[in-house]
Amino acid sequence: MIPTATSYADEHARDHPRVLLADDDQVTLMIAGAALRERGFVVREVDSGRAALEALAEGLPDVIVLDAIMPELDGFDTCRALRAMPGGENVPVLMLTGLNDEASITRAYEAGATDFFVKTQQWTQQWSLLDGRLRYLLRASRTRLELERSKSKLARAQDLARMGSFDWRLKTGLILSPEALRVFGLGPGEVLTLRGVLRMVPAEDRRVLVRMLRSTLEHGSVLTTDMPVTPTWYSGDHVVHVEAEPEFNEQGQMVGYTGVVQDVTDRRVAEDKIRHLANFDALTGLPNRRQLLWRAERALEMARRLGHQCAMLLIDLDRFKIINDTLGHQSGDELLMEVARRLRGCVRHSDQVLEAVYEGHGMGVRSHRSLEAVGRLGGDEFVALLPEVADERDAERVAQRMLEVMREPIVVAGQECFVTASVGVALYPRDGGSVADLMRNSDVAMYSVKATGRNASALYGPQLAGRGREKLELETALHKAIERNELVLHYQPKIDVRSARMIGVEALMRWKRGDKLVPPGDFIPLAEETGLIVPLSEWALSEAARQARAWQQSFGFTESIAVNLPSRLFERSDLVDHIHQVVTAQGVPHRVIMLEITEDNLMKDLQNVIPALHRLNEIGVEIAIDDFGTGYSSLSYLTTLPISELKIDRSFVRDLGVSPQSSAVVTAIIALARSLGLRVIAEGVETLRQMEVLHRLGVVVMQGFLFSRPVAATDLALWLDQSVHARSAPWIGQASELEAAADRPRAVAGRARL
Amino acid sequence: MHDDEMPTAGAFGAAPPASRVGAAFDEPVIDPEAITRLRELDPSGQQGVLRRVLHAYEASLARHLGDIASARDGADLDRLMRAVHTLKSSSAAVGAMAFSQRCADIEQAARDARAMPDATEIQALLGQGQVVLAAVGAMLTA
Repeated sequence: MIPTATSYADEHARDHPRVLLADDDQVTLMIAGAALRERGFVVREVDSGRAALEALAEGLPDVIVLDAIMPELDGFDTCRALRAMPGGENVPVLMLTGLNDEASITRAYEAGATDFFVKTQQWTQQWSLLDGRLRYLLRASRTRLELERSKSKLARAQDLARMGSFDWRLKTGLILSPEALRVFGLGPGEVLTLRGVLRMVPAEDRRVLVRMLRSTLEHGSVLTTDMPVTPTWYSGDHVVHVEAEPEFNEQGQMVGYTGVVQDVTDRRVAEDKIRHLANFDALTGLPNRRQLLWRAERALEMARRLGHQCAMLLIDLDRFKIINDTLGHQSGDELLMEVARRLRGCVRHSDQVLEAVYEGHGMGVRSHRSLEAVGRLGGDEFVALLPEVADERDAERVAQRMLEVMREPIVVAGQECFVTASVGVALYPRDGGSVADLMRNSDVAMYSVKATGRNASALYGPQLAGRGREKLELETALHKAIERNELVLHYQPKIDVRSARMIGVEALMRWKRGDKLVPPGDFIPLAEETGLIVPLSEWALSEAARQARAWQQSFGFTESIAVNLPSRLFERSDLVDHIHQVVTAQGVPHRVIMLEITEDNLMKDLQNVIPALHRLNEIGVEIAIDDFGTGYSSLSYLTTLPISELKIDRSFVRDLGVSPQSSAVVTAIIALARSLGLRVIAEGVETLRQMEVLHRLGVVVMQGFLFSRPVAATDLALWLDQSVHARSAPWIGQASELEAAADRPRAVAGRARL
Repeated sequence: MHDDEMPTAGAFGAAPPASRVGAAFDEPVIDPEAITRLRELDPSGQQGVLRRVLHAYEASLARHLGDIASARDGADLDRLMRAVHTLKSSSAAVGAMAFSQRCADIEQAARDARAMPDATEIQALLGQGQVVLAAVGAMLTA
């Protein structure tokens, strides 16, 4: 190691101590000086006490050698004067005295000399003796200095750590260091007895503490404890940590204790905070998953031991994602806090962090009741733990109470929200022997509620097993489908059969899950239920815009791509912006995007959807109503809506020529559309016969397997070339014939209008 | 310079006749061992320690012998005590062991008696002092 400047200086000082030598005899002075110099000392010689003091005023040496007998100011007076100087109290002084001069030795100590050295007749020839004595003095002085320093360092460190040491003796009682006194809020010099300390401890804790002290004393064991104290000097509880070891005398009898006290209030507060953070949900203040699972484990243990049942209720809010999406996360959070407050009111909720308390003390037989709580698992999922229920009806009552408390609207962001929940119930031991089983089965029960219309509770039953989980897995996979680029759009052409032209396409979503192509019917309902439909739809819009641009470049595509949207998306204020963004990003006109909304969907949220329809219409995005004719809606609303197209539901097309009502409905729709100036399009056209009938009834735009299945984007151009442009498809010939006999179907249509 | 200031080893180490004064004493006036010790304090001789010590001692001895004579004449006990106290110590330091011992004896006796010693004793002391002074002088001029 490279010595630092300081350590080098220290080393040098150690090897070459500075000594002040005072003797009135020149000869002795000279010889002693030479001798010490020769032994590595740095010597300053003075020949009188007065000269010594003058030299000391200039700076203190490491050690002083004074001849006791000197004229005028002798060694004793010089020493006394030195001790009175600032810093002079610590310099070691060696007094040279004559042989047979015991009086001088005593006087030397009285004057403050550190040690004496007898000048024998041979002393000037035995320098190693003086040298040794001086070095011993220096070492002792250095050690003392280091001790002083480390004592003050320790005191400072203890002060910083709010720590102090104490001694307690059976005979003399308690003695606290100034730092320890400070821990108890007392100044140095104040007196604090053991009784005084105990008085600071709150009564109930004091009893426990006294009992423990007695037992510690009896066994002479080590004392380690935290004691709550309430010093009179300021408010607020403090926690003082005490650690002490017994001390024994030579006979092995315990004579007292010695140890430290430390104010650990801050640490305790921090520990409590950490414990709370680790066990409670930051948003709602309810026990979190960890704490709840811990409680559930304990509850099951007790139930096992005492032979009773317990219940776990899984509560999931219905359509919470919609609230989060439409009102924002801030409002979502507010809503969750209110829901939490209401739910916890439904049980005998206990807020304690139970870990320490529960394990630390023997609790009563009914202590498991304090485990009862509502916790938040995350998101909009809550769990209620009922540590003891008589039967399933007990649990169902709590579930019903929960559903009831949700009926009252919750006001967030100035709006009244109606929130419902689905509750799944599982009982121990009937529905599961472990916490994991109960969690899973209450989840299954909860999902069964979701599947059957929400806002209810259900008990777990073996017939439910498996269903919830499958769905859950599908949901998880669907979540990742977008980021993994597993979604694709397929396109089905819309045909104007008169001119045998493609006038647009409908985009249909497919999910490439592994090797399988999942049809929309298998994942769109789930996407709607979970709210994933929103990102899915947004993706579809941008993908459609991108495709329109690609086709435009490859074969001059200028028609529109119809994208299916749920009504939920129309309620979003940013839908118009989003469409505007995706089309401008691709450099295609707004009209390349067409939106389809089902009649059902439209009717459900009509009032909320209308403003968006108007704005979309303004920017040139056309709207089609899908599955038209199936809704039980008054048709009158159609007159006020800015829509462009009605799509006749495929069920009517399928039944054309089979059931007379179908053609009647189709005829009525056409009439309505004509009067409103709307286009009509028939979906699901699979046969030439259907095409013929539809055409006769007045439908000219059709879509269906007859013309083309939905195809991948790359296959559309091929289809156009081979079927349409080549005019080779069978329906093209048929269509031409129909066109030739155009008058007749129009007459039929005309009749229908009547 | 070196040679000029420092007595050679032979001058003291071999105990030349000049340092053997007084047939009554079998041992030398100045103990050569002591001189050797002193020389060891300045092994290279560059400090001229031995020479300076002997010079200082010579001056101190002459002055204190004068003090002793004056104290005897004026019956000044304190002055006598101070002189013998100093000489006791410095004489031992340069190796004048017998003279140092005589100083110590007189100091002790005078302290015990709180009175001036006999004139004969003082005379003997002064005489012995003169012998030491001569020996030192001889060493310095050697």
